[in-house]
Amino acid sequence: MTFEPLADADLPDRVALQNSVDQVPKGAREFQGHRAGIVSRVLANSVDFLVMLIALLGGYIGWFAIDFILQARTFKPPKPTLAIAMVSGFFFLFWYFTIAWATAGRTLGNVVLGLRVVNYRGNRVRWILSALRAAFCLAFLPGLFWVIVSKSNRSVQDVVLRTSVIYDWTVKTSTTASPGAPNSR
Amino acid sequence: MTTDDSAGLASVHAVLPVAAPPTPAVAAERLVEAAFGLAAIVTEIVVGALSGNSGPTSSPGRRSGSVGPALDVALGAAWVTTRTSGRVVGAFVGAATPLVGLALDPPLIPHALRPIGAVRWLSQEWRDQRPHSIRALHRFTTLAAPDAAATAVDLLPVALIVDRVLHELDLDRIVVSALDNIDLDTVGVEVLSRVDLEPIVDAAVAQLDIEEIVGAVIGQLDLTSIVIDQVDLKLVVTRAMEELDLTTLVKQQVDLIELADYVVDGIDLQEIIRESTGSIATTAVQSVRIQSVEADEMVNRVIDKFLLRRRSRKTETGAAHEPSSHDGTADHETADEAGAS
Repeated sequence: MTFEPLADADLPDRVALQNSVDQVPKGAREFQGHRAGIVSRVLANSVDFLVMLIALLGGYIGWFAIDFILQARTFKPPKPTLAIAMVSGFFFLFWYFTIAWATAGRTLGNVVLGLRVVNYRGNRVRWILSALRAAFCLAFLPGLFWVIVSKSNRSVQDVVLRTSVIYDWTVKTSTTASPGAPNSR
Repeated sequence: MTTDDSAGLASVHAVLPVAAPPTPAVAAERLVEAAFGLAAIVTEIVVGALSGNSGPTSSPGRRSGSVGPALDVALGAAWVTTRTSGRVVGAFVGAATPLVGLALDPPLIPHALRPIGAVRWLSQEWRDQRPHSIRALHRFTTLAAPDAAATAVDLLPVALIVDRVLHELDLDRIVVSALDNIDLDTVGVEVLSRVDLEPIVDAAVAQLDIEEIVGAVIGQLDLTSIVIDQVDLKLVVTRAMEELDLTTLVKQQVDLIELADYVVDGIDLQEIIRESTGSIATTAVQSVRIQSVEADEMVNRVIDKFLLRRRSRKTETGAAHEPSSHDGTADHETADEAGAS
């Protein structure tokens, strides 16, 4: 039995078909949109910390190379102090968090753990709020652990800035929160 | 003599065969007995009819023989008288027979002059005449039979007689015997060759409710079993497939797009596509995510139990999960607009 190929007009739009495929496994769909717990968030921050270390290592290597090129005869390996390393790390994380949350809504750690930072309406945070949240997170790291006792899985930063970190396994650049979603407080 | 006459005469000879005659004394005795029997039955019937005792179930031959003392006495006297007379006559005949034989065929007399010659001539004359007489009788009975039959039918209660005869006969045995002696195949072929079946069938069809009959028959049959046992289904299907253009048939009769939509609705196509297109890395990442979610849930339960919380945590944000149907650009714009507001 053979069928003639259908005309293009009879075929469904392939792009639309691909976009209509749910990327979330059936077992994880019930968690989508819920605020993440402490384990996922700590693991995500751990990944981001690893990213920071790699970035610092890259920066050190770059510094090393530039210094070697410019002062080949009197070259001595740079020896950054702990303070410089910490300041550089905080500086990197501030911009890393700010840019990631304001553009994709998620850092690399969030991507790995399937998390996303959203504002009180369930949408991607704007630049100012993203910068404030990054600064707050770096200035008060223990605030993350308020998630453990919070009735709504929110950190101190989330409570103050009315943000949330939710499970979102989709790969699109924003959440699917419907306009007018309930306040996440 | 025509062919029909010969056939009729043959039948008469078959009915009345010429057998060896008994001795005159024995024949006379049998004749007298039969005459008395006939006289007794006729007398009983007549007396019964006159007295009104005769009924449709009565049988003259099976009567008790007593229709009245006077009649019994009269018949008894006549029988005794006749029997006595017969024996006397028989004794006389027995004694006279040798003398009669000697008188008819006396010795010392030329054969041509002996009386036995006349006797033999008379006998031969009758033998020659007998077929003609029988034939004449047959012709006469043939001519008289219709009127006689009509008269008999008018006079006699034919229905009663027939009923009586049928009551006496063992019809089952007769029918079985007849069937044993009849070549039904030949009879059936002969009947079918002579009968115009078409008008009979048309009349039968017009009077019968074919649908009801067929419905009743089908209702009593296990058609499924019959078809399975008697029909080569594989051969039937094969022939049907050979003669049908299934492709054209399906394209004409089936809305393939609607059918495909129905099938897709019935299965989790998204899950199948997602699983079939997922890489090992994706699977590993999903495994880590699932385990972290489970760890979150476990920590939440432990802490809530430690803090004596009765209600579970409210982690919903209102961002209910929906299959992604937007591209990134559109979501960006939506987010910006929401943020601006």
